[in-house]
Amino acid sequence: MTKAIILSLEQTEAAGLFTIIFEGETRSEFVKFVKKFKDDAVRKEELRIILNQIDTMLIKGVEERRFRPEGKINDGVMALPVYKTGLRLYCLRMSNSVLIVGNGGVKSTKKYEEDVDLNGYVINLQKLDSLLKADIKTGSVRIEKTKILGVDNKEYDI
Amino acid sequence: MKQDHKGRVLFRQMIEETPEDLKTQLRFSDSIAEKLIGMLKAKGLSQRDLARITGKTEAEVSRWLGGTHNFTLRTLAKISNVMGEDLIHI
Repeated sequence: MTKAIILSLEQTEAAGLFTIIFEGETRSEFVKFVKKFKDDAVRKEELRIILNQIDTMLIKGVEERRFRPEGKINDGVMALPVYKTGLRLYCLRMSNSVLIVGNGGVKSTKKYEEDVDLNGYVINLQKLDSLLKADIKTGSVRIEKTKILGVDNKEYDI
Repeated sequence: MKQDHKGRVLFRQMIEETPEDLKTQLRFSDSIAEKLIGMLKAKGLSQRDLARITGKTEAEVSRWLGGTHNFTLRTLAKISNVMGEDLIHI
């Protein structure tokens, strides 16, 4: 298990965008995802589609229709997909106004569990989801409009 | 809360570098999705209903409403016909 903290990426009136960074690392999971594909001649456009979707959500809100459910039934793990090609970014949609983005990649297997990297990205978010939900239940963490309150510098064991 | 400054700069750079035609395509796709959602609501229909009456799968209907689908004219025509109203106006 590694410790991770939640970082703020952008805040607008409609939505708060967050990501995570693991202890000892200098790049967040979101940066790692973008850097993987930003100079890839084949995947660059697909990456732009996903990022423009996020930009739209920062204006219109984190609408559920933009996501594909991923993970297990009871967890909040969703994917922002590019359907024709399989590139996807795994996220936790915490509310209509709060989105935590993780890492992602190209899904070339039938199930994400069959891909070691994708499975790892999903598991990380599943663990974070479970821990956040527990904190929300005790009241130590609150989702208030576009903000996640109570997680400043809080380390999560993922 | 700590900021992911690197991530924010990278995100904005990628958005800035997105070709205008791709931005327009995505705007069209999202507008069509929103219009279709409005139509479904007005008629009291679900996504499942739409799948049934268009002869498509629920997964495909889900893609239509996702905001990035690259619709063919044929699909737009099909949906317009079953909904009794044009999805697009030219």
